Amino acid sequence: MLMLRQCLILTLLTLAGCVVSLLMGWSPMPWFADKWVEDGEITVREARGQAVLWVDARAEAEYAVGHEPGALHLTDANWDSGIMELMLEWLDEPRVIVVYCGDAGCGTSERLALRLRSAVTGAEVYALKGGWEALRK
Amino acid sequence: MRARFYIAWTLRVLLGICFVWAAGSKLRDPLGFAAAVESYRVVGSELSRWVALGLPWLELWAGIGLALPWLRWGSNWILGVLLLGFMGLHASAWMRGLNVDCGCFGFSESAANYAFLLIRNGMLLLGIVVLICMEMDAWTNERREG
Repeated sequence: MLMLRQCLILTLLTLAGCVVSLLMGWSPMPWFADKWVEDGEITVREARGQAVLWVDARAEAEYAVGHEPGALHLTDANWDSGIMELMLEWLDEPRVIVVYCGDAGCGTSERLALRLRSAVTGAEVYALKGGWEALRK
Repeated sequence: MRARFYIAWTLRVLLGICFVWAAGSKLRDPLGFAAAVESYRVVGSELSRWVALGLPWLELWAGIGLALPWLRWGSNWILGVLLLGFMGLHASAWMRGLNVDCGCFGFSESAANYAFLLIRNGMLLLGIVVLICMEMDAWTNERREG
C-alpha cells in the first residue's frame, strides 16, 4: 500500500514535470513529429517537397534490392568513386543533398552527411529522419 | 547500527546524484534522447518521443525521492525496475548487434560499450537492492520493537 501510494506520487510528479516541459518549451509536443527533428536532419515530407539529390548510404545489396529513384549509392567503402559521381551530378544541377540509411537507428546517414558537408562545399546536406524505412511508407 | 546509517545515506546520495544528473542531461536534449531511444528499435518513433518527454522526469523525481523519507520506498522500486529495463535493453541491443548511442546521460555520438553499460547498471542495481534490503530490515526491527 505504501509503495503504491509513493509510486502514484512519483507518477503525478512526473506528469507535472512533463506539463512544465511542454509549457516552458523545453521539449516539443510529442504528437507533432515534425518538431522532433534535430539540426542537420530532414523529414520525408520536407524532403519530398523540394528538388533533392538522394544519397543511399546502405549496403550495396540493399541498394540493389530497392532505392529511391535517382538515388546515388555512396558509402565509406565506395567513397572515392561515389563522391566523384555525386559531385558531377550536383554541379550539373545544384540542389539539397539528402542522405538516408536503413532506419532511424542506423546512424550511417548522419556520419556520411557530416563527411559530405566538408567534401561538397556550398551544398546543403541533410540526413533523412527515419531512413529508408520512413521513405518506403 | 551507526555504520548502516552512513552506508545507507552514502548510497542514497550517490545514486540520487547519478539519476538526477542522468535526468538533467536528458531534459537538456530531448531530441537527442528521443533519437537514442529510437535507435534501440524497440519502440517506434512516436512512442520514443513520449519516452523522451516522461522518462527524464521520472528519473529526476525518483533520484530526489531516494533522499526523502516519504518517497524513498517507491523511488527504490521504480529505480530498480528502470535499471532492470535498461539492462534488458542493452543486452538485447548487444545481442542484435546494434550500434546504438546509449542515451543514458543524454545524446552522444559515440557507440555504446555494452559490457561497460551492463556492469555499470548492475552496480547501480546492486546499490538499490542493498537499500531495499536495509529499508525492509529497518521496518522489521521497528515492528518487533513496536
